[in-house]
Amino acid sequence: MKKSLKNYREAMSRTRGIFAQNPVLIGGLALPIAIMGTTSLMNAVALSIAAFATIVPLMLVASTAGKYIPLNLRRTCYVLLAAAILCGVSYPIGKISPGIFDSLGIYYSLMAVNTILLYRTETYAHHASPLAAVVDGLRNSLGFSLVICVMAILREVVGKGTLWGRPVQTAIVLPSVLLPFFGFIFLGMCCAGAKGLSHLMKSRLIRDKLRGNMQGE
Amino acid sequence: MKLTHRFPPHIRSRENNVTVMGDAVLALLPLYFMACFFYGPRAAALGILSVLVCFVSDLLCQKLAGRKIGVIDLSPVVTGLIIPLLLPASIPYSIVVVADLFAILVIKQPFGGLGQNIFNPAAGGLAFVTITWPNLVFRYTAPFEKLPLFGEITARLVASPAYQLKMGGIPYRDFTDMLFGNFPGPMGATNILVLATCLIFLVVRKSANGKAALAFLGTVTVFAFVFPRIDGARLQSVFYELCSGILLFGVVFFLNDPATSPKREASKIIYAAIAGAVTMLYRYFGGFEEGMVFAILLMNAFAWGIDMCCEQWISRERRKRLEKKSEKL
Repeated sequence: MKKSLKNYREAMSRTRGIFAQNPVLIGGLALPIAIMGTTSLMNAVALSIAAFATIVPLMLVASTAGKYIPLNLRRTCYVLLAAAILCGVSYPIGKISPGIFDSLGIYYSLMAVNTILLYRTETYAHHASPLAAVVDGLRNSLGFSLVICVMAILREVVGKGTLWGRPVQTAIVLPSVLLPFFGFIFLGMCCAGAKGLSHLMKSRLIRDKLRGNMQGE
Repeated sequence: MKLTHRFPPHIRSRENNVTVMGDAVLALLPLYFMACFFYGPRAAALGILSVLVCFVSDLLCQKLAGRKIGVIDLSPVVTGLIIPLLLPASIPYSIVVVADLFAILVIKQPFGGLGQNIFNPAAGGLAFVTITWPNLVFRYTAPFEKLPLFGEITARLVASPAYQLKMGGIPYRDFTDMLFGNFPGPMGATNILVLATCLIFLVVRKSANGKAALAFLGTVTVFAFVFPRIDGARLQSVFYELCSGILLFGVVFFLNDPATSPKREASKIIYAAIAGAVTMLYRYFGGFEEGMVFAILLMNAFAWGIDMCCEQWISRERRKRLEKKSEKL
């Protein structure tokens, strides 16, 4: 049974950022984007692409060149770099749909100062090797995109009765699900669900371990 | 015979959860009687459906939370009875079910159930429905119109006096019609005299705070008198502001909710006065004709703050008085 606990810990450390220590659900980072950008699946996919495009290269930059930048200029440099990348990425994102930037509004530009980026570069990338930093960036962006895509699918189907712009058969359409207040409520419920799930897994594991110890005696 | 041993002090108060909620249920039943009188059996059907949905969802949530279900308090019944009374009689059944489910599953149970909810469940459910379907919630049928139990509602839908006030007009209903509730409006919130009787009943039974209700109504009166929406007719304006919308219903059942209002008497009065002002501001500048549910939800969020400020103020006053006394000695 000790082995299972070890396996669990290993699995948790491997999926750090995706399931365990998810930046949105456990860390509470990038909340405005997770709430306002999840009114449709197209928006969520566009934001996910932006997250991958900004977080992964900047983790690499922070782990390699971060030591040579003065401390008070670091964040400014990262944000400027992220803004430059976003300008470039806006070309492929614009191909998703013609009105995508109108529906995203300010929240596309806000990805340049997104808290996942600033938090992970400050706390992790400066002490880690470039490969580890890139993997961490990939995990965190994957965790962020998973959460916002799942939220966007549910909110779009219930709120508009469509999925990726195409009509879907639903029992009831509630337009107020698209408003920010429901985003807050829904994100809170997702956080509670994630916490409950991890609690359940841990408690089950401890119970198994205790039972194993008793049998061993 | 079973004898139980209890230590003193022996409190012989009759009050507990069930009696407080039972008083509210007793006060709500005459409103259902009046609603049935005006709109036929559809009103009763809406109430029964709503109570069933609330009760079952509440029970399921408690089971899910692993709580022991021994004592059944009447709070989901009160929530279920309040929600249809603030909607028009022509409302589809599905909307009432959505409001009930939102009230119990989102507003009440995630915070820990009865006594731990921050916001009033019925007000939350109604606010959600109001934002989602404003066209259906604010269009009423005239009283004494025959409404079928099932199927499409073909009766003519009209606007309420609150809408006429919002648009800058003068409601054409006369004095007695307004008092007896013979005007289009929410199912249970138009019977002004019955509601006033309910308020007196609850104050006498000590389930409601009379001073808080007076503070609320006083603020609304002053507001309507100083800034009348009907030009040049201040008293008329006061009368229509007090009688239209869900104002008096809110005073009786939302303002005195034991779980979400402040605990001290002084803070209750301050809370009620601010709630009155916020309600009037919603009416004057809000997007909808009636914003009392939003005002109540907003004030619920500040209830703890008002309680804390009052506590500090009162303790400071008490300290000053004690210091004066000690100086005299």
